[in-house]
Amino acid sequence: MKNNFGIICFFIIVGIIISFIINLNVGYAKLTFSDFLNSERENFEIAGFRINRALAMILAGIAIPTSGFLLQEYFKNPLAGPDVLGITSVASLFVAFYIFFSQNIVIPDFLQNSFISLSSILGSLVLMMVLLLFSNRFRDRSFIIIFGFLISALAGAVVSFLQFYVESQSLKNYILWTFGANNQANISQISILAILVIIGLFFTFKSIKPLIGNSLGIAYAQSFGVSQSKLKITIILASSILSASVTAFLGPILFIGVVVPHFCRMLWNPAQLWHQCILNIVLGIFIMQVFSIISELSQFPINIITTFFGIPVILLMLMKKK
Amino acid sequence: MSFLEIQNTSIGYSEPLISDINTSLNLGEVCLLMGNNGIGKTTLIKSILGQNPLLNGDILINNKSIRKLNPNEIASHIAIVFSKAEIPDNFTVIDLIALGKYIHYPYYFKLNKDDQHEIQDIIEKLNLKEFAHRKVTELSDGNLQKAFIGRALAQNSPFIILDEPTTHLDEENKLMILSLIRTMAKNENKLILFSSHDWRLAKEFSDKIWWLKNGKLISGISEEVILRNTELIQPKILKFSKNFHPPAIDAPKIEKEMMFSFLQKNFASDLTNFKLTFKNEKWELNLDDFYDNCHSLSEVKRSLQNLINKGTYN
Repeated sequence: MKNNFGIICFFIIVGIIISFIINLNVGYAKLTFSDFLNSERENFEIAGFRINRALAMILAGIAIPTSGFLLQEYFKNPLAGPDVLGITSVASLFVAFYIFFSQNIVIPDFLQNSFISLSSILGSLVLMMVLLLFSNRFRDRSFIIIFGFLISALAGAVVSFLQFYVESQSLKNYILWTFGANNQANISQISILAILVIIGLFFTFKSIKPLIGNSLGIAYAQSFGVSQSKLKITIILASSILSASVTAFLGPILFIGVVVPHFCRMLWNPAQLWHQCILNIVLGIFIMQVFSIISELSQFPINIITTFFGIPVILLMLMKKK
Repeated sequence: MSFLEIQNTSIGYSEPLISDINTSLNLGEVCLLMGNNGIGKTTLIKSILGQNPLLNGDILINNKSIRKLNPNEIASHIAIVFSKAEIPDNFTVIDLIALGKYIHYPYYFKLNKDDQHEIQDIIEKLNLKEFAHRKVTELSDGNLQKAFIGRALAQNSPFIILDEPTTHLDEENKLMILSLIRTMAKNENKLILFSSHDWRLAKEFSDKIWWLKNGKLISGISEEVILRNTELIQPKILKFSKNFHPPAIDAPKIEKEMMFSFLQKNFASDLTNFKLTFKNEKWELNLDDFYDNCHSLSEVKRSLQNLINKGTYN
């Protein structure tokens, strides 16, 4: 049995390597191998962009599906996704605040991206603090989901309100950001993102065993020594850090958090959470590479691709469940 | 020194449900816990598990106070089988029994070879081999209960508590589970504490009885406890007046529990051991037989119809 899992992962990793290489070769300019290595070459900068893009997609592929997987297991709801806590909406709200209110201030281009990321992180941090502070009050799990839904609705309403009063260029900038068109992160941003993803993974790994302990319900979980309050905090930290950091640097990436865990459950025994966690990571990386390739070839922003792909899959899922 | 010692303990929530408990149990013994619904059986079990704080006194497990043990240490001494559990959609029987090893691994990534063999042994011992790779949702009630007991066995704790393990089972499965419990105690030197309403059957498999009654715990060797408390043996007849109307047969969602709580609300006394007949223009009700023989909603409806039409339980 263990061999089968190894074989599945092996094939996915082969897929990752192939798609990574294709990803590096897709784009307007034709690059050769030496463009990537030799800094004297004309196309070195473009090669750098492509590597950054591919690396960013690897990190997104690790973070977003893992965040969705954790929330689906914790809430025992296969439709939960990283936005269920409201993180993406509040991050978008703060980015909107920044874009709309900075329209009268001249900010040099190279700082624009950083400030967008900072606003997004700030927004996510604020919501994360609120969730952690109130986590004791969330006696019932479903209350967190309702809270997240209300926060998302409120954030969306405020953004709509703001959109009335801004000039069209800012509006377009904001909308492009929500499409995930802003996935040009530079190497230092990628490094920060990588560190944040590693921190998020650390909290993820800490929550797998308690999640397994919850399988038979709260009474058994208590007899196994699972601390519900500690698990709640670890889940909030893990899923928030993972989804907020990707949202900050690459814009919101939708649907992957719901759809990839679903595929993983089809590929391997859903009860074995460690295997599911690993599968989510490798399959997430592979799928994001493929989407990145499609996005480059079609010139559509990444969220358009994930939406076109994600919605039919979720519909099929819902129909199959009935 | 006994394995389990309860010293001057009161259990309950804001008010004590059972007070001044002083009793003990040893390894290799089977103890039946009995008492009416709501008297505190599950509260006592949770107090022993350390999940409910004690109002008074102390409980010692293998000479250690449960106030000083963390949940993992308690779990290494006590394994529990609850009467109700969330049945996970995707677990196979092996996955469920393997959960008995949960406390033994820091990350629970993968079981080692010895533990895997032990789980296979438990599956064979419980005659679950043909179901080993099936999902637990596909099991019959009896086999599912065996699987949960298998999980408790896999935990390797010397003390196993079972909260109403035979309540949802038919006669054959009840006997099977009760004899399994007795075998576990005698062959593997485990201490078993289990609660049951069907005390007439359960007492045949028990060495001791703990009887929760009137806020106290009466304990002793099973035969003595039964003989000393003759009201257990003689059936009680609860007489209703002619004006008593049970809930209508076609009332939506009529369930055993609703009927029971309706009766309990209207009649404050002990409702076990009652027989319903219409005699001398009065209703008399036996609830024990009523529950044991109704396995579905339609059977409940049919029996109630009989009660009202003929005046006797059928």
